[in-house]
Amino acid sequence: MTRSQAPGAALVHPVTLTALFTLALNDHVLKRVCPGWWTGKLSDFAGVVVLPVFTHAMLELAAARIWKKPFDVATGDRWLTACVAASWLAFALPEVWYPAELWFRYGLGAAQWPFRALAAVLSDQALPKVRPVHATADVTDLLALPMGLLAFAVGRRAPRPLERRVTPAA
Amino acid sequence: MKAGWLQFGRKRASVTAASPDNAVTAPPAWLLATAIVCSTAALLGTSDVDEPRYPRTYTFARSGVDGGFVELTRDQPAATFIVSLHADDLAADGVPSTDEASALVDGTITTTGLDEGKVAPYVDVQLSTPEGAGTQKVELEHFNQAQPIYFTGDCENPKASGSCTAHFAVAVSRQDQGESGGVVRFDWTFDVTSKVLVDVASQEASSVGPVDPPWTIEVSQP
Repeated sequence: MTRSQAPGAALVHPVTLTALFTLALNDHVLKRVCPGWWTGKLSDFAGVVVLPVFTHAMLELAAARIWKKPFDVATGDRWLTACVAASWLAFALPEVWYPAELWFRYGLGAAQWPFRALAAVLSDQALPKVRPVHATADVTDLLALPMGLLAFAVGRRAPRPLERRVTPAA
Repeated sequence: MKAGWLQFGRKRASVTAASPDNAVTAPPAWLLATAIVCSTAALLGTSDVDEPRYPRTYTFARSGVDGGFVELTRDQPAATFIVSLHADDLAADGVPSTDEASALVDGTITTTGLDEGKVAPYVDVQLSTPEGAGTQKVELEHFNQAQPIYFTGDCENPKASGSCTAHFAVAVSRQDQGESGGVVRFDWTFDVTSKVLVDVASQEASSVGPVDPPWTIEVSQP
């Protein structure tokens, strides 16, 4: 039993792809077709899986292909831990602290702006202003945080204890 | 314990390094690129931009609806018309069309064949709704009066519920109770309007209409 160590491989892990599909489906279909408390939560659960895996994969790929210094297992897992922690903060703080919610709303709005501007240019419309995204603080969204552990399990590169036991000697 | 937790990676690194069969299977570049693009799009698009919202005023109007006429005589010095308005559906853009509704009644009074020496009688015209609102005027030749009307029932889903309706009554009566003889004819028409304010994602306040409301209007005499 082995684990893939190719940089960015966790991004195409079935768990990540499932979370990604769930995130997109929920945000763009389910929330409109059958809005409810569970569609409000579903994206949070999926997002807490996708975000750390995605940021970690980007770091892995940058290290391997840009800086030409691929992460070793220990460094990769440290960065993964940091990515999970950062994702927890990114998800949790806006739910409980208004300034963080404002940062989230304006930050994501600013990140979306280039794409909205491109769409406006392509459709011959005036450039849109940078606008905050819509967000509703809800402490119960913190229930999604444990999904970060799933992200860690998907992204970690060190073998689990069982894997170590069955690994044959060199 | 603390040091052990911080060093977990290093320990595992040594174990992994000694494992020759650890697969290093790079996913195909196209798959990785697709996953990156999809992840970026999904994460960026997880929340819609909070577009500014401004009021849009929808005005609905149906003008010159024929109310019919009545001839008030010695035998029938008074009459009442009942107007029923039934909202059949939501209007365009899915907005309800039944807020701030009112009717403007316009009537013409003509008198003929009065008894010798009698003068044309005044006519009481009363507008009223089942909710109790109403106005009354006394006129000799022409009547013009607005009356708020109120839709009741499930007007958010009028098509499904079939229950969104409003009513108003127009009651006319000769003040002379017909004693002057002859015929007092009351011809009337009415306009109905409504105004609905909806907040929409927009750069400025706007208005739509007047457009014909999706209503069925009936006039009857009990």
